Amino acid sequence: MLDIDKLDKQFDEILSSFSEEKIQQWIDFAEERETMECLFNGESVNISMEKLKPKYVIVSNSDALFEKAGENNYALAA
Amino acid sequence: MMLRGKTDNHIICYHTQEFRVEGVIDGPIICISKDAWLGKGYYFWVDEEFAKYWGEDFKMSTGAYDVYSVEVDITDFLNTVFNEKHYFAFKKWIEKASNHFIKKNKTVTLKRLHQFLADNFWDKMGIKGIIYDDMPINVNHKPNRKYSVVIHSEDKRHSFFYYKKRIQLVSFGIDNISNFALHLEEQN
Repeated sequence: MLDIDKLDKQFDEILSSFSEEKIQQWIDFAEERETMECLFNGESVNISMEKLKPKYVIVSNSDALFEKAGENNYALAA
Repeated sequence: MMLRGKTDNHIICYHTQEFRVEGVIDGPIICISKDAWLGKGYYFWVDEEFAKYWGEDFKMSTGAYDVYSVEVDITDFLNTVFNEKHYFAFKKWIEKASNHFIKKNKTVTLKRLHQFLADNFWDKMGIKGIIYDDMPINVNHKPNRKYSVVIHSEDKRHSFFYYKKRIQLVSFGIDNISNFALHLEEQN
């Protein structure tokens, strides 16, 4: 037998634990699960991959290169 | 009055499926439709009459339909049809969950709402299913049906009096379902 008064409190506790972030996490999870279910059920699913964007980070400047090269800086000429 | 099974907590319900040439099925088929009112689960009709209408309207792809009978243990079900306290709690919970999504600027769809409740609430709360008064419907406007509509045409307009409850039951699991058996075969 369900104790509705007790369940009502429990419902509020669970619901209040869902912040915007937690709801979004659940939505992402549910959407992924739905896609997987479609796949397993034999439905066709479009899979798209995000393009990898090159990210350039300067790890050394020319002065530093010359410092590293020391007296053999002609080696950098080529 | 709902038909009782082996105990007062067991009710007899009906499950409609397409007639299968290869034979009868040995258990109910889970509904995963995104349009299912109460989410993913095993759906049954409390009245045989509605089980037949469901077959006529939606389960005729093989030319005929079968109706199965089943006993469902409703001890841990929300009975929103005949239990006042259950109904008002259910109503409040649906509204609260829906408003919670809206407050957080998230779209609410029927499927999303029920999945959210199923994933995070029903099981934790020990709720195994829901008995629900579904919307009256006569999709093909069949004139021979007097189950939930009375055509009222005094003012030359057709309006409808939905005097019968169209009760559905969803069980989220299979554990509380027993005595599944063919009840009406190859109907059309």
